Parts: sequence; C-alpha cells; structure tokens
Amino acid sequence: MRQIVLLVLLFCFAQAYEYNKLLLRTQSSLYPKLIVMDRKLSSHINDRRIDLYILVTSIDWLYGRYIKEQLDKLFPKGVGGYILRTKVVNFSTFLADKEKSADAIYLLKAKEEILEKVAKKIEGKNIYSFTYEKEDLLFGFLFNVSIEKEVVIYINKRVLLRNDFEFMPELYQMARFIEP
Amino acid sequence: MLNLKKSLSSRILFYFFIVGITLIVGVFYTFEEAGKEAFKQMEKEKAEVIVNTIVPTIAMNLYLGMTSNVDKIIKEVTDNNENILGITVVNKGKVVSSYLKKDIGKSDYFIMTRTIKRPNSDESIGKMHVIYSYAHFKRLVSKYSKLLWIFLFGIAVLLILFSIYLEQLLSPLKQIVLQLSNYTPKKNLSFEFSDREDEIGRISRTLEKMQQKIRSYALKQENMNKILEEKVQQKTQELKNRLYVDSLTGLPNRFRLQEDLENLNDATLIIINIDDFKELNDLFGHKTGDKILASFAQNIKNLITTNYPKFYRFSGDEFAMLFNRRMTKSDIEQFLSLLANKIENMTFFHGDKELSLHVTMGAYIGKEGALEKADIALKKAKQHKKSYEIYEESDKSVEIQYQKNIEWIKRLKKSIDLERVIPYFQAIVNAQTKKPKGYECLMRIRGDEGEIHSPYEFLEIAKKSRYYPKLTQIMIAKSCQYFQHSNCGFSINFSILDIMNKDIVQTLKESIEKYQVADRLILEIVESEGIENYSLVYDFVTDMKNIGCQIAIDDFGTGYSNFEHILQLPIDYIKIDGSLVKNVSTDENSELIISTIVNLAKKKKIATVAEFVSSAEIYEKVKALGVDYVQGYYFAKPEEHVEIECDQ
Repeated sequence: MRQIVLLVLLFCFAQAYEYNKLLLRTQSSLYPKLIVMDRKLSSHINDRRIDLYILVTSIDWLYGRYIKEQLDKLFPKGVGGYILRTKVVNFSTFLADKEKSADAIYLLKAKEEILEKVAKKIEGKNIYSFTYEKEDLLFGFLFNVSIEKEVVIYINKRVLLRNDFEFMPELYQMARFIEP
Repeated sequence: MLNLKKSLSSRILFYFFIVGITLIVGVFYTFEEAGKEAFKQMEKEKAEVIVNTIVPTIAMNLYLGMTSNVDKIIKEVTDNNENILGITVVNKGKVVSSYLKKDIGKSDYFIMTRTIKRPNSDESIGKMHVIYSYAHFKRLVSKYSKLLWIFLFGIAVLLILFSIYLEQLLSPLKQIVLQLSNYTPKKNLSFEFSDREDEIGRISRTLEKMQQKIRSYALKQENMNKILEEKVQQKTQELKNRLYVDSLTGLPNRFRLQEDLENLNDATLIIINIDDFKELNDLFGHKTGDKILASFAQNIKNLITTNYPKFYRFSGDEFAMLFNRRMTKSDIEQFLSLLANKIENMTFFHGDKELSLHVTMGAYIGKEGALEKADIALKKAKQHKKSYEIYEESDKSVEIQYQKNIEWIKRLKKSIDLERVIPYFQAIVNAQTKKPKGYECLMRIRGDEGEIHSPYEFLEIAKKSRYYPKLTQIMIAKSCQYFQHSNCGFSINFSILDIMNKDIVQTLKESIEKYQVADRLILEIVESEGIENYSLVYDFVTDMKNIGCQIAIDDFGTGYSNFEHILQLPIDYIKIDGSLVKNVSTDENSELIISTIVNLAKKKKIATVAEFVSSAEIYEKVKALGVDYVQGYYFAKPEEHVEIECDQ
C-alpha cells in the first residue's frame, strides 16, 4: 500500500509545473504591496481586508501552499493598514464560484482555456490580478513581476484601463507596460 | 589742503564725493549681500526641486525593496547633476544606498535631508541626505560681483566727470569772490561774467549795480559820520560836564574832587558845611535855598584868584577846597580863620531881607583818606561847636568808632538772619517777700563764638539803622512765646520810636493775640528818651490798656518830660531810674528824689520798682523808702532760662 501511495505522489510531482522559488518569493513580497499603491483601494474594499486567492491547478496545490506560507510570513500584520487573507483555491472552484469573493488573485500556471475563463470572469470587476508567468498577462491580467537583469514590474495597459484603478504615478514610471 | 570753510564749491565737491562714495560702497555691499542671498536661495530651491523629483521614485523602490533600483537612481542623478556631490539613503539607521563623488572632501557644500514616506501614506520608511555643492553658487556670485564692480566703476567715473563739470560750473563764483575780497567802496570792479545769461551773469550784474549804490551811500555816510562825530564830541563834553560839574553852582563836583585828589602827589583838604542850612530851606523854601547856595559858591569863588585852592561843591550844603600841597598847621589855621571871617561878613539877600551864613569846617593835611579824615574833623568841629577843626592823629579813635559801627550793622543783620537775637530775663522781686513777681525781658545778641552782647554795645547804632524795628519785633515775639504758659508777669521795653512804628505795634498786638499774654504783659515805656508827642503815647497806652496790658514808665526821674504829663497817662508801674537807686545809700538827693517819687506814686496808686539794686544795703534802703518791687544783681542777673512759676 505504501508503495502505491508513493507511486501516486511521484506521479503527481512528475505531472506538476516547474516553478522558480526565488521568483515565487519575489512575487510574494511585491504583489500585496502593489495592491496598496492604488489610490482607489478603499473604494474597492470596504471591510479593510484584502482577500488574495492563489489560484492553482490541483497538481500545483503544494506550490500554492508554499506561496500562502510566504505571504503569511511576510505580511503577518497585513499591508498598508489592510488585513491580508490568503487562500489557495482551485481554478475550477474559483470559476464555479459565482460571487465576487476575491479582491485579488495570484495565478500560477494553467492551461490557456482556463486562464481565458478566469480573465473573462474578473474582467471589469476591479480585481487585482497577478501572474506567475509574464506571458500569462496577455490573457487579461494586471501585474507580473519578473526577474530579468533586474526585477521588472509589468502592467497590462488594457486591463488597467478597463478597471477603475489609480496607481501612484511613480509606479507607472518604474513599471513596463504590455499592450496586447 | 582743501579749505572747506572758505570755499563753497570745494564744500559742494567734497560732500558730493562723500555722498557718491558712500552710495557706491553702500550699493555695492547691499547688492552683493542681496545677490548672494538670492543665489543661495536659488541653489537651495534647485536642490529642493531635484530632491522632490527623485524622492517619490526612491520611496517607491525602497518600499518595494528594489534597492538596486535605488542605487541606480541615485547614481544616475548624482552623475547627471554636477552640483550634487552625493546621495545617501538611510533606513532605520542603516545605509540602504549611497553614492558619493570622489572629490567631495575639497568642496564647499550643504546637506539637504528629506524624509522618505511610504507611497500613498505618511509612514516614514527612511531618510535621504543629498550633498549639494556650493560650486555653482560661487561661480554665480563671482560673476555677479564682477558685473557689480564694473557697474560701480562706471558710476564712479560718471561722478568724477560730473564733479569736474561742477568745478567748472562754480569757478566763476570763485573768481567773483576773489574780486569782491579786495573790494572797497572807492574801487570800481567789473565782472567778466556780466554778459552771461545764467545766474552767474545775473549775480555779476546785480553786484555792479550794488557797487554804484554803495558808492553813493558811502559818500553820504562819510558826510554823516563827520556830523555825527562832531555831535558825539559835543555830547561827550556835555556828559563829562554833567558828571564832573555841579549844575546849580557850576562848580566841579565830588567826582572831580576825587579825581583831582588822586592825581595830586600831596594835598590839603577842607570841607565846608553851612550851619543849619536845613532850617534855611524849611524857612524860605528850596528855591531860595538853591539861590543862596549858588550865591555862596560864587562869593567864595570870587575870593580865589590863584589856581589853588580849587573849590568844589561836595554835597547838598557842603563844599570843599583842595590845595595841591601839604600846608603847615599854622598856615591852614590862619587860612581857615580868615575864610570863616570872610564868610561871616558875607551878606545874602532874600527879597528885602538880609541873611548871613555861618559855616563849620574840617581840614586834613595830607592826601591818604583825605575825604574821610576831613569829614571826621568837620564832625569834631560840629560836636565841639567850633568854626573849624584840623584832623589829628588822636582823632583816629573816631575813625575806629566808625569802623566799629559799620561792623555792628553787619553783625546785626547776621544776627537777625541766623536768629541770634535772644531775650534774657531778669527777675523783678517783691520787696517784702523777696519772691519774683515777674521778669523784665532784655535783648541780647549771641556772637560767632557764643558770647553774649548786651544792648549797651549796639542799641544806639541799631536805632540809627534800618534793623532796629526788626530787632524789637523779634524781642516781642520771642518774649511773648516764652511766657505763653507762665503765670509770671513780663515786661518789654518800648521806646517812643517803637510806638511811632506801625509795624512794631502791629507785631505787638499779633503776638499778644497769638500767645494770649495780654494779662501778663507790661510795656515799659522809656521816659528818659524825652517824650514829645504825648498825644500819640496817650493813644497807644490807652489802646494797650484796653487790650489788657499793663504800662510801666522806665528810667523815671531822668527824662526831660514833665511829671504832670507822665502822670496823666494810665500807668501801673514806675521804674525808678537806676542812677538814682545805685546812689541812694550815699547820696541824700537821690534818697529825696526816690522818696518823692514813691510818695507821688502811692497817691496815684501806682506801684514802684527800683532798678539796679546791687546790694543788701541798697535793698534795705529802697525797701525802707516804700518801694514795692526791686530788680538788680542783688537778687538775680539776667538769665536765658528762668522759672516760669511766680508768686502772685
């Protein structure tokens, strides 16, 4: 029996996407901070609590848990005066949920059609969205932080304009915009 | 050397330069300082702009933890801005990022510090220190100072040029002044600028016109001066005559005599006084008196045919003769008797009446103090009722007495001023009981050394001086004050002079009222002075009796007045004269007079007091004669302080 369980787990890891842990830690440290740079944050969140969902496929559940731990460790008292509540959620669960329960989402790797559906679901709903992959921004998500020669913040201009966000000008100065 | 006081143009130029230099220096320093301040401010503002520009980006990067970006930004900013020498970002005491240029140590700079706040919040997440160089500021200041110097140099050049112009403008004035400095009304000056149209020309033309007027005025003035000089000489002569010549007799006067006396090496002086001339004036009037004086003067003048003696009018009825040499005593005696004889033989007329004059003369052989000494001789002659006297050295005592009198007058004034006039009190004792009934108040003067002077020394002089009323007033006030709370009688001496003086009588009444002493005050009226106006004395005595005072007659038995008049007065006491009392034990006449006075007094119910009772013998004698009260050294000397409780 023990051998069967071990084989299943090995299979699962073999099926999971690959993630750079340094990038995950960098993104975890920056994404909540980027949320509080929105001057209109108080109009989008009424309960002084930011619900950040880490969207994962089932096989990436452990990475999701890793990110949650990182976030809880980095922001135990919240960020910018807001309480930060993190939750690891399956893409399918998120898509099935018809209520707007998340204020921000952090998407790990997923299939294109799932990403498209998520993007469609959050479109125009003032939900802050962050991706692990830079390229995933093009599906309709707002922020991505990548490590190139240096740490670079990417912003999807179209998503920025379709939502009611007003980030600090300095952020725009240092970020790079992606126009699909 | 520039003489500012003498030259107006030099003064204008000098002050122009002073003001100019002050302005230049003032403007330079003001502008330089203001410029420096402005440039400094400008640099600070520039630094502030830069800092304000980069702080948000730094804040954002710092907040996001992107310190590599912070490094990049501060390096970029520092390298691109030559004025920024370095930037340091500090968070919680740790240097997060820092970039400094290499040559910072040599530079002059200031540090600007800014707090870095978390984006979209007031929370501090660090501090940024920007080191900003003054190099640019210094370059600016240097350029500015150069420009300012050039500008001021230009102004200075303009000032110099203007002052040269001013000097030229004012030079005609200098020339005019030079010409005028040698001007006299007799000179005719012509000014070369009179053709000019400006103010210099007008001044020149006006001065030329003035010259003409001055010349004509000078001529008039010259003539007028001559006339005035003559008038002044004439008036001076008249004044001299008035000063030295007596207008009534035409004789040289006292001033001339004094001058002549001073100018002589030696002299003999005679003062001639016309006897009883006052009566002559009273009898015939002053006009007649003046005529007689003029006639007298003329007659004497006619007697003198030589230069000396010179004849002067000395004062009212006094004349003087002055010889220019020291005569022998026999010569002057001969001259004086001859002159007296001549004068007595002179006849003067008033209408159809013939008058003759008698003169008394005093002479002094010598020059020193001649006027005073001849006067002493004259007084001596009057005293001895002789027609003349010549001053001798033995007469010096008279002169000394004069000096003494003058000293006493001064001393009296001083005593009044320093309140040194004090009353002494001598007891008047009941002859039977030998107990004091009251006191006689006697005037004393305390000297500089505290010594006491009695009236024998000064009373006669005081009576002739203007201080006498004041002395009496002081005595009245002090005596009344002393006895105000006493039951003793006290007496104050009151002369006929005092009765005649309204001020003294007023003081007496005021003091009686003030100290409430009417029932104890006895006024001792001195009989020996010879009362002539009995009516006045009667009125006074009655008045004082009505007030409540008692009256005593002092020194009774020696006066010239008749008893009848005296005894008509409502008197209470008779004080028998001391000269009678002191001889009573040896002189039968005195005893007889005292006995008569006592009897007379008893009949008139007047009490008697014997003064000068200096021994037991005298006391016993006067007591036996029936005298009621006695006073004298036998019983008590005059004292400054006495018992004020008396036997009634």
